[in-house]
Amino acid sequence: MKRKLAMGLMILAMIVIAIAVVSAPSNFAMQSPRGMQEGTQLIGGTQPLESVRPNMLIVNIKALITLGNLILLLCLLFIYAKNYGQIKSQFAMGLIAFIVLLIMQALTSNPFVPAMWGIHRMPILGLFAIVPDVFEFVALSVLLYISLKS
Amino acid sequence: MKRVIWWLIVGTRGGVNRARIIRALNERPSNANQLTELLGLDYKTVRHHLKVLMDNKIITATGDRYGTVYFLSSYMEKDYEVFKDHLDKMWDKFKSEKDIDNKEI
Repeated sequence: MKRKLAMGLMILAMIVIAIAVVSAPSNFAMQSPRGMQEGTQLIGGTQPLESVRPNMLIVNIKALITLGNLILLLCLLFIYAKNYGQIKSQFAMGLIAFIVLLIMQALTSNPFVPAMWGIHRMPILGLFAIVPDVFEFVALSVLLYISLKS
Repeated sequence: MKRVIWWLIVGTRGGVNRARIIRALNERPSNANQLTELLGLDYKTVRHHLKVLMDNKIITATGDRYGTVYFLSSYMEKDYEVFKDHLDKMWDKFKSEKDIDNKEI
């Protein structure tokens, strides 16, 4: 069971890295400042600065993953808060502080949060905008799994 | 070791019941049936907690099958003082909630 989980995680990490590596050259070229200023022929096509907009698909996926992270964190907070109610130890308090801070992180990394303040120009990172959130999602899933299982 | 114990007590869903088992076993080594009765839990739940505690070397057992008696491991006994206050407070709260004074252990 443990070996299966470790294997699954490694395979997932490899797939994500492979996708990121494969898609990296085109994303990189599209964002080259020199290329964008001059609107010259790039690997990703001709992209004048004005037409470079955040990819809405990636923005939506990022929003979905950060929402998933938030749900996992709320589940963890529920478990830890319930235990803290019974045993008020420093360890329990630390776990709650850790989760609350990660909830703030999950909230602020949702692309629609800056949009509420009128900041629409999300950095155009391509897949790299969502890869960190995917890893966070997997990490939180593992934490929730061991918190529920044992 | 202390971190493992803290994690198993406050970092997991069944942690509080596990803490009650540790507290009970510190008072008196018992078998799964006695713990089930004392804590008012399901027998299977108790068995599950005992297995997790055994896997993490917090308790050890002697005897076979139904006669198995569980007690705290030397690791846990060594660190028990660190947890004592928290476990006692938790136990007092549990006792007053369940009104189990008559089952003093």
